[in-house]
Formats: sequence, structure tokens, C-alpha cells
Amino acid sequence: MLWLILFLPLASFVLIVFALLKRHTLAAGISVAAASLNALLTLVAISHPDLVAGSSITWLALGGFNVEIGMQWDPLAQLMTVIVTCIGALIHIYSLGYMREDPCRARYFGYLSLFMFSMLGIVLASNFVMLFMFWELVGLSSYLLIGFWYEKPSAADAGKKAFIVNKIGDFGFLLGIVMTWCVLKTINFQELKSVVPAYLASHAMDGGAALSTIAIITALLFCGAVGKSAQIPLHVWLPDAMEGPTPVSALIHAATMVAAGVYMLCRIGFMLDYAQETLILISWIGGLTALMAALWAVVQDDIKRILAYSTLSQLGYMVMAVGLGSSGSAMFHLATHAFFKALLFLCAGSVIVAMHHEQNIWKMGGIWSRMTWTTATFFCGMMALCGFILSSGGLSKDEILFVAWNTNKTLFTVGTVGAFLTAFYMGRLFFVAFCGGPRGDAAEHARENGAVMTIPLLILSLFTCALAWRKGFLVDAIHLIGGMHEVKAPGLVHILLVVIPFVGFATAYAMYAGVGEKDPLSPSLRECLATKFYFDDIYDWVIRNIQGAATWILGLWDIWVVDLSVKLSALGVLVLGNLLRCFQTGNLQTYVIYLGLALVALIYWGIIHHCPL
Amino acid sequence: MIPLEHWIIVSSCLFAIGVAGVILRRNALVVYMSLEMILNASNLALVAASRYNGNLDGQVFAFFTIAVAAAEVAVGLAIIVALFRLKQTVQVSDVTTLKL
Amino acid sequence: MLFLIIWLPILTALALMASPIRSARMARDAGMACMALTLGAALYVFFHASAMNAEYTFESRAPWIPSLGISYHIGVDHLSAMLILLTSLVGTAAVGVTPLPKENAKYHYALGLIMVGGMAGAFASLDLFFLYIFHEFALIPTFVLIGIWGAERRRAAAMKITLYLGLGSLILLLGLLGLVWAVGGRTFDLLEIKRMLALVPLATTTQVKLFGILFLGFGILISGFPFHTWAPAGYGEAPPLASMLHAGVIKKFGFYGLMVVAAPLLPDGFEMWKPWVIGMAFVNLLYCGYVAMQQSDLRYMLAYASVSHMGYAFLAFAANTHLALQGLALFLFAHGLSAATGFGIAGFCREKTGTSNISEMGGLARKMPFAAAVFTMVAFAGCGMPGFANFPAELMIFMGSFQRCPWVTVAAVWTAVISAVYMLRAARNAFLGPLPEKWISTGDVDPVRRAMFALLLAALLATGFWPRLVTDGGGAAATYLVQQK
Repeated sequence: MLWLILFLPLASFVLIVFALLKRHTLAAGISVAAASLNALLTLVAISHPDLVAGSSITWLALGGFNVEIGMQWDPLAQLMTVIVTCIGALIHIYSLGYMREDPCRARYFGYLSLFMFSMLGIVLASNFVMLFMFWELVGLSSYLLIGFWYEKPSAADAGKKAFIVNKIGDFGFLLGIVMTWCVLKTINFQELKSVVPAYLASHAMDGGAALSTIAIITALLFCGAVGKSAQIPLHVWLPDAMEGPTPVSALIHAATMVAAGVYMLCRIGFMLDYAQETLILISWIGGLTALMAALWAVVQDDIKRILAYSTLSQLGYMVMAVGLGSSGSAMFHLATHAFFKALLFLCAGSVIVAMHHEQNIWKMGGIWSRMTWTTATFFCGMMALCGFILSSGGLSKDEILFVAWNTNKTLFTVGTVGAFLTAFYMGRLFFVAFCGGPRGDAAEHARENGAVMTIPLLILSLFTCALAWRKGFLVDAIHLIGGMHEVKAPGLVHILLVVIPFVGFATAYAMYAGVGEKDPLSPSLRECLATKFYFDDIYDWVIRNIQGAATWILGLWDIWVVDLSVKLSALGVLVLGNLLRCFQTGNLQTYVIYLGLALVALIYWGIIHHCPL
Repeated sequence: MIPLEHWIIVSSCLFAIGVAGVILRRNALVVYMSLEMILNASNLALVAASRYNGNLDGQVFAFFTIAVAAAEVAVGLAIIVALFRLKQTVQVSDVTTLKL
Repeated sequence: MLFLIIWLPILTALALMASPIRSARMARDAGMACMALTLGAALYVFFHASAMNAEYTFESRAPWIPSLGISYHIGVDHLSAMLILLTSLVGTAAVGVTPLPKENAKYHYALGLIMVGGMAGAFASLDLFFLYIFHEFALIPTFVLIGIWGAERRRAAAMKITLYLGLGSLILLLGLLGLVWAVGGRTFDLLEIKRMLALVPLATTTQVKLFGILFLGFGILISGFPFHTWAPAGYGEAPPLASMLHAGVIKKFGFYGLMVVAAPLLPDGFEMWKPWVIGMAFVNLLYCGYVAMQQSDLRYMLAYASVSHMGYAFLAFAANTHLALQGLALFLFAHGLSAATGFGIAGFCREKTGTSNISEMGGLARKMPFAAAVFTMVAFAGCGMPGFANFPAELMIFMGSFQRCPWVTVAAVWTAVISAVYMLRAARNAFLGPLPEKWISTGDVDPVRRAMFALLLAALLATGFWPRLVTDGGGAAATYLVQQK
């Protein structure tokens, strides 16, 4: 059953790429059918666990290094599979409407199927190597989809940037996997659960060397998550990734691929338990990302960028939760975030299409009266993102902040400030783009898009309500992972967390309700935050100057120093030849002299000295 | 009797003059004459030695030398004539087409 | 069967040269027919040999110069069968992909066929003399191919590559002769020498000297730093027929020689020279990788990329564990295919656009979607994307080498990032982006060439998805494990 779920999208991809690149409707249909079928099969597999048989194929087996292609179907995997397939199916359906007029949509749906295959592979993987393989494939799908409109220079550049930044993270990740196998002799997650404590026990006399090895391994594995989930300092690719079509941003860069990092961290949670230093590192990186991304989001003018930075920020919360020791709350937030963020992106897409691909919020306005369904669903999603009471996001974010309260008060403050900022910038977005009067022709004429695009919005908005998270499979899975209502915090904290979103929203209302064409935020503040703290610029500078200089020097070294000996040998031969040339004068008498000299030499050495020649 | 050394010295002088001529003179015919001189010098040495030793070996050998010299002159002069027809010159220093 | 693989291309080449064929297309069709037969035979030999594990099959022996102990002894085991399969695959594709020459077409294809036959013979040869001779068969035609049908700087490039590799072969010959002389000078046969050395190994000093000479000779052939400068000019100016065969196959010969001749017969020498091998690996990986980033010509970049990737192979060779050697064998196969595809597509683009300069080539994906797709695949294979055989190979190399050489393994993993940078940069600048005016009328890949690229990529993907095709019967690589004292 699981094999079918995994390979159905691959079959769709292969079929589209080899046969259907010109038959756009057919390709779209096949891809959507595959995705929907996957969603159904997942739900069946969840409700009928007896249908799921464990089996694996040996992919490589050499001298102790065994790599299996096999599935792990524990609650964590089940939760993620449901998220991926269900949201995936909805986004496929939405894409039918969004990409309706695109001349290359067959290719788009093919890539989308490839992505589903890769993501499901990550989720179902039973060992590190299989995880890494699909991790890389997800990176490939992301490259292809971000750069889908490849003739646009910014899109092509963004795709390249995303892949390379991810690859840098994968450098650490792969080293971590190599070390895992070399030190612990296995890469299978189930086996590692028992091998790690055994290893630590057998090396307990080492004086901490074994513990630091585990810490190094986990830190390296975390690098992969930093790259994939766009944590600081490898966050620079995510905002640029908005060059891709909006459904892609929704699926890949909000709901699923970026969540893969968090998922992986939860998978290796049993290892992280032994690595305190790594956990501290993880929580701080998560916290910093959450705060900084929220600050940057305040000054963005492109609707997709605002949502991108908000994704960065929420991912920071999830990573912080893992670092604080609570994988359960991280997964909970991942689940709720997947739904409401996908919803928000799809709403944004709906607005963008209605506005003929205008993405600047300062050109929008008055959408609420023209596209009521979109506005309503957006509002639900926004409530969830800001963490309002009675929304799903509120439950999960509060969970994380309770954990922070109990473990690290500094990070709690960071998280709370982040929550305030979240409400603030989302309020800003809402009031500027959706409320007030239209700021231009496009906004004037925006109309609701068809049912194909609106129905997924409605379905997703159902999940933003907290009531949806009281009972049901998703909740059980999360409980099994270890999340939800397990942490206690003083009542004051509860009240604080309820009030903060309102405060943020109210501030936004005060500043942005009924505002005109310009952002009333002070220009110097805008300047400061718009620099994004120079990360992009520093990287650019390093690449251009340091790496550029290094490669320039090495290039010249190669031509003028290493190759020099080759050139010198050629030169030497020429010089020698020119020297010997002097002996060939062409003059008869010179040759006579040579003859004479040779004769004298012969006589001297041959006869007088009796040398045998 | 004139001692043998005198003959050998004269022969050597002739030989040296001949070699000097071959190496230093530029006219091909003069080079040839010097070559003849070298051969004659060796003839002289041979005959003198033969007379001194009292047998005829040297003189017989001298005959061989004369025959070889004659043949060589015939061929050599033919070459020089052909060379003159080609290059209009018999100066050895003008014929350097084998120079690299 | 081996006889067919080795001699059919060579005899066809001779027949082609003697024939009055004038049309390039007919010459190409003749070449492809011959290669198709060779490929079939190679597949048969490969599957048969992998079933036989580590023993030699298809053996045949005929005395050549009995007084010197030289005999025509050929046979394959799993490793050589795999490399012969690689030769046939790359050869078939190369003959199909190379641009149709404007004049003297029959000589072009004939020389290519001689190269294929020569390499097949070199891999199948079990006699040291013939090992060398067959390699020369492959080397000499590159001079003519590059010198006549190459790009702008072909004369200089042809001279450089031939003289440099000729020097390398000469050193190799000296090493081989030294080895033969050290064992008594009676026989050139590899298997007999192996037996003799198993009983009475050579003195350590002799081993060190001989291994040094052989390593230098093979190292020049493999483009190990600092003897790699023939590669950029040579591959950069060569027609695809030459560059595909050279980068794909002939470079692998060096490693084959090291694995089969040098290391097992001279274990103490290998031990002494290991730090140099490791150093070479490190420098090749990082230095050549960074220099590749600097290149503005697509083919020069691919040349440096291929030199850089040889570092992975040096690393695996130095690490000398079962897993690493297995990875090395698969890597030779995978890299051969991906490098050949890369040079093939670069050559095709040069044929269509007249330029190899990356920045001049921009925006071609709209007009040449198939070519763009192939290049993207080559780019991703080059940085170790799963799905291509390069990934399992590199993974095995990393896993196998980490404990022996941790820091060089770190450098090797970083090289994957470097490769991603320059490959994707090239893909972005050459294929993506807006289409400039001048390329409006370029066409995409024609069906014959599509089939050839599909052949190479299919082999790469098949072994990538199911590496056990090549690694099963994988006891073979382990037989070359040098026993540590």
C-alpha cells in the first residue's frame, strides 16, 4: 500500500515528461488524479493499519554498509503523510485554476508530481541514506519549480540560489550521515534508537569523548535542517523562492519541503536527547530566525514576500521548539502551520490572479468587497497565523511558548515579541491589501476566481479553527508524538498570550486602517529593516570578492605556474634545437674540420689509449 | 744517402700545406689541388719508406694511391663542372644550401 | 566474444579508411552499425562476467614474442567487463553525437573506432605489453582528431595533449619494463607475475621505486595535479568524438592500471606512496574545482570538472577499503557516462551556436529544450544527485574513506557543493534566462543524437536507481584490495 502511495506520483511524472509534454489538459488531469488518489489511499492506510505491510528492498549491501529502501510507518510518518498528501491534493486542484492560461502547464504538473514523490520519500524513509536521497530530490524539484518560468532572469537565479544554499546545508548533513555510519555502524532509524544508548554506555569511560561525538554528529545533521528549513544563516533562498508560481510557494515553501527539516529533527529526536549543546544551538538559531524574520516582514511590500518571511519566522518557532526539547509541540505547530500557511498563500494567489499578477500590496485595496470568499478565508488563516484564541495556530504557538516559559525565559521573550510582530505585520497586510478603497484599476476590477480555486480555500480554512483539532486522527498522532497540552504554565502567561495578538492587531489597525498610498512607518526604520541585516549583501560580497578573487588567482596560477613547467619544457627543447643548429653551417670546409677533429679523437683514444670503442 | 727523417719531414710539410689548402682556400679547384698535394705527400712518404726498408711494398702501394687519386679527380672535376653549371660559381663558400 | 569487441571496431576502421565512402552520413552509419554490434557483445560479456564474480572469463592466449615472454593474453573479470561496457556505450554515443565532418569524414569515424577498439583491448589485456600497446592505439588517434577537426586552438592543443600523454605513457612503459625486469624478465604476463610475486614479493626499495614510476605514469594519464594541464586545452579544443572517448574512457584507464597492476603487485610501494595519493586527491578536488568556477568556456569548465572529480577516485584508491573500492569501480562507470554526456552536449551546442563561451550562449532553453534538459541532468549528476549512478558511487566512497582519511573526505563532500555552483551557474548562464536575438533560429537536437544521449542517460539512470546492476558480483573490486601488513 505504502509503495503505491510513494510511486504513484513518480509514475505520473515519468508519464508526463516522456509522453505528455504537449497535452496539457491530460497531463494536468493525470497529476491531479494521482495526487487525489494518494490522499485517499493515505486516509485508507491510516484507518486500516492492517493493510500496511512492512517490506523493504535492499538497495546496496556491501561489507556492512546496508542501505534499504523501506518504509517507516509510525505516528510521525503518518502525520506528515496526511499533511503532505491532503494539502498536496488541494493544491493540485487549485493549480488547475491558477495555471489555466500558462502554455507550459504540462511541465509544471510533471514537476509537481516529482515533488510529491520526493517529499513522500522523505516522510516514509526508514534510514538516513534513503532520507538523504529524497532530500536531494526535493531540492531538485524545488529548483525546477522555482525556476519554472526560466526565461525570467530573477526566477532562474532564484532557482539556482535555492539549490546551492540547500546544498551547503546538505554538506553538513551528508557528513553527519557518514559519521553516523562510521561511528555507529548503522543508518536505520529503528536500529539507531537502540544503538545510540548502547554506544554511549560502552564508551562511558571515555570521559565524554563519546558524548561529544554524538554532539558533533547531531550538529552536522542539524546543518541539513538549517538549509532545508531556511534557518539563519542559510535562510536567504526562501524569499527569492517566491519567484515560482504561487501554488508552488504554498506547497513547497510553506507546507511541506521547508517542514522537512523540522520533520528530520523530530526523527532524530532520540539522538538529540543526548546532545545538550546541540539542543541549545538549535533553540537559539530557531529563536533568532523567528524574531529576525518577523522584523523583516514588517517592511515588505510584496504580498508573497510578507508570507515568505512569515514562513521563515514560523519555521523558527518550530526549530526552537525542537531545541527546547519538545518535538511534539514542534510537530503540532508544523501541522497547523501547513494548513493555514497553504491557505494564506492560496488566498494570495487568488488575489494575484484577480489583479493580473500584481503583487504589491500598495497597489491593492478594497478586495474585501470584491472577493468576499477569499477575504473571509484569508481572515481565518490570518487568525491562525497570529495565534488568536480559538484558532489552530493559537493552540500550537501557545504550546511552544509554554515550553519556552518553562525552559528558557529569554527565548520566551523572543518568541512573544515575535508573536506581537506577527500580528502586527499580518494586520498591516490585511488592512492595506484587503480593506479600504481600491488603489488602482486592477484592484477596482478584481473579481472572485472560479470554484476550482475557491473550494480548496474553504476546505483549508476549516482546519484553521481550533475545534478541528480537538478530536480526530491528526490529534491522536500528535499526542502519540508527545505534543499538546502536556505543559503547564501559570495563568498569567496564558492571558498574556491571548492578549498579544489583539495588541499587535490593534497597533496595525491604528497605523494602517484607511491609509493611503504610502507606508506611514518611519523611513529610517524601514531603511534599517529593509536591509535584512545585510545577510544577502555579505554573502554576495564574499562570493564576488573572496571566492571570485580566489578562483581568479587559482586560475592564473594554473595557467602560469603549473602549466609553466610544461611550457618551459617546450621552450627548452626549442632552445636546445637552436643551439645545435649552429653546428650545421652548410659550409664544406667546416665539415672537413669536423671530420679531422673526429679522426684525431679516434686516433688518440683508440690507438694511443687503447680504449675499446 | 739522404736520411729518412728528411723525406718524412718534407712529406709532412707537404701534407700540412695540403690540409691548410683544403680548409682555407675558397676556390674548389684550389681545394682539389691541395687534396692532390695531400695524396702526393702520402705517396712521397710511402716511396721513401720503401726505399729505406729495401723492399717494394711502399712503391706498389704508391701505385694504388695514384690510381685512386686519378679516379677521384675524374669524379670530383665532374662534380665541380656540374656545380658551376648550376651555381655559376666554384667558390666553396657560396654553396651553403644545406645550412639550417 | 572478446575478440569481436576488440577487433571489430579496428577492422571496420581499416575497412572504412580503405573504402571510397565520401558522404559523412554513410561513414557515420557504418560506424554506428559497428558500434551497435560491439555494444551488444559488450553487454553479453558484462552480464556473463558479473555472474562469474572475480574469476577471469573469456580468456584466450596466443604467444607473440616467446623469447621475451610476450603473449597476446586477453580475459575479463567483473571490473574490466564493466569498463569495456562503458567503452562501448560511450563509443556508440560518441560516434552518433559528434558533428558530421565537412571533409575526410571516413577518417574521422575510423579513428574513433580505433580508439574504441584500443581501449577495449587495453581493459581486456592480461599481458603488460599489450596493455601498453592497446593504450597507444587509443592515444595516437586523439592527435589527428584534435589536430584536424578541433576548435580554434586545435594545433597547439593536439600537440600538447599528445606529447604530454606520450610522456606519461613512456614513463608508464619504463615502469612496466622495470616491473618485468625485477621479476626476472622472463614474462610479461600479468597473471604469472601475480603468482610469482605472491610467492616471493619484491624488496621494499624496489617496490617503492617501481610504484613511484608507475604512479607517475598513470597519474599523468589520469590528470592528477600537477600533471593535469593537458586536460583543459585537450578537451576544450577537441571534437566531441575525441573528448567523449577521452574523458569518458581513457582517463579511467589510469585508475584501472593502478588498481589492477600497480597496487596489488607492489603493496609496500603503495603504502609508502599513499600520502602522495591522498595529497593529490585533496588538491585535485578543491583546487581544480575552484579553477573550474573561473572558466568562461563551457568545455574548459567541463574539463576542469572532470579533473576535479578524479579526486574522488584518488581518495577511494588511497583509502583502500572494500566499500571505497566498490565505490571507485561504480564511480569510474558513472563518471565516464556523465562526463561523456557533458562533452557531447557541449559539442552539440558549439555546433549549433558556433560558440562555447557560456555568457554568449544565454537563453537557449526555449529553442533547445532537449539539450537544456540533458545539460541540466549532467549538471545534477556531476554534483551527486540521487537517481544518477554518481550518487551511490560517491556515497560509497565517502563511507569507505572517512575513517582512513577524514579531512580529505570532508573536502570531497565540499567538492559536491563546488560542483553544484559552477555547473548550475553554467546552466543558468547558458540555457536559462531570456532568449537573445541571435539564437532565434537555432534548432534542437535531431533524433539520432537524441537516441544517443538517451542511451547514455538511460545507462546512468538505470545504474543510479539500481546500483546493484553493477555492484553485484562485487567481490571483484575487493580482490584488488591491497593487503595491509
